[in-house]
Amino acid sequence: MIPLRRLNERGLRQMHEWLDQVGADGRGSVPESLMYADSVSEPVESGVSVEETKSFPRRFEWALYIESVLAEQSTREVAMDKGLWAWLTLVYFDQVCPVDAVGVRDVLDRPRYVPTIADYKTYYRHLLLGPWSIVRAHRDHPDRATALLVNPLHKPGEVAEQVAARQELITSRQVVEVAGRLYYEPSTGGMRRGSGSKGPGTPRRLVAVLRQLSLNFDFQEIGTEALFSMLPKEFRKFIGAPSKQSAPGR
Amino acid sequence: MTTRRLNFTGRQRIRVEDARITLETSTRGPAEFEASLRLSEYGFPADALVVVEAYRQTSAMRFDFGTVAFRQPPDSTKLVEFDPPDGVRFRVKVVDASDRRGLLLGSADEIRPTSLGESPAQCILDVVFDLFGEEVWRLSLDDVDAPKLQVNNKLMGRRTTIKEPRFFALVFPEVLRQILREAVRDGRPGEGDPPWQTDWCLFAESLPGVKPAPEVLNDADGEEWVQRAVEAFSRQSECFSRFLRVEEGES
Repeated sequence: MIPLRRLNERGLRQMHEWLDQVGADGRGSVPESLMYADSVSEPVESGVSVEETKSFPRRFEWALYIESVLAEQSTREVAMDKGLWAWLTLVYFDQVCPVDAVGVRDVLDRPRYVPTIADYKTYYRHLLLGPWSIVRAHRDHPDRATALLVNPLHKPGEVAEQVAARQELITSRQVVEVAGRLYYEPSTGGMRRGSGSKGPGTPRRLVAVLRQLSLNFDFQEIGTEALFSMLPKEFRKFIGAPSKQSAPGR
Repeated sequence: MTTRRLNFTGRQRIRVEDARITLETSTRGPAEFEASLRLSEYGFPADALVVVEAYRQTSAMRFDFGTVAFRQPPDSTKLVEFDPPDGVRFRVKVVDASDRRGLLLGSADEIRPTSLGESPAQCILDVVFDLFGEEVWRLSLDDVDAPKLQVNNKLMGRRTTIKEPRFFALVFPEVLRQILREAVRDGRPGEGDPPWQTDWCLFAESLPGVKPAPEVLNDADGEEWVQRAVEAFSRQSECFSRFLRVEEGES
């Protein structure tokens, strides 16, 4: 177990420089000094710790874990703590940016690793903050959000990316339940085939349809069943569709 | 790229001045709010439900305010999910409770609360200090959410910088230009368009000498209307004169 820390300005700068280096050839490990030196990071006041060796099969398990660690903290304080999320990214870097068979990392764009806190259109893209914010939004019943979080930490997934981009959708119990019913296969714990593609009935279309419906209906008042029944026929192909070949977490 | 959404059920847009939210902050706990709603002129059914939602990023709270005829604020309007409440926005919904249950009859979105005792003058541009590196400012614009001016976080300790005449003169006319271009990309915004587009259009039209934006604009007309608005804004704000005075004062 290691006590939580947050990167300071200098630490964030050094993390950007280090990510530039890793991004250049896909090789490199997190420098110990960047994680623990007092010159680049500081302990978080709450005094809570995380298990640095813990692995998470899906984003869902990560989100539940970090929510249990941060349960006593206010949403605002945690969500705005850029240095904390950057530091956590370093701790779990081998899971958020794993090496492939030949030892090379596929470094994604920067908001995946260093959150863009005040930009509410991109902050959810952070690979660790994004899943946590979804579970925090549905903490009365986190299982509801499983469908959005079945991928491994380094793969956000189309359903989550599409729904999380819209505040009025990601906070809606009815929307998240509809997305789960369409694209999640409970028997395998994975997504249904075709849910990651583009075209009729896919998450991208679902968001477009739901945004249109939200202009004219109050989802909480109509409820999940009625909302589900309003969806055009194009979405029916996902009901009872087979799941993807791959097991979750692969 | 703006995507138009269709208001095919005749939902009414509740005017900002008819949906005011006042925040009362406290050092002893979460802020509370009071909603001042004037809905009598809209012709909503008496039994239609009135709902106020507070939201920010992935947090949201919903408060039932009774019906149009019998308004009944909830026992508590404490914003426990928004502590501190900075950046929280509100939407007001009037929802059909009859056989068309759930149909939105009216709504107002992106309502900025005012603090207790503060005048309800509307601020339409959020400024956030969340840029790193060497970039001084950047405008965050999309087809749904209200524009946001992002400023280098190193200026957070010097918030007066953004009101300083040189910063103002160099940045804000260009901010206005970019926002108006987006707002009138498909002609004058109306029902189904994001409320921020209408707000900014109304702001531009309130400037001296700026005519209402035409309903339909081609690229050249749109650019000309935007240019006139930016000129009027710069003139009214005396951007160049104030810029020069500071420059000469320092030489």
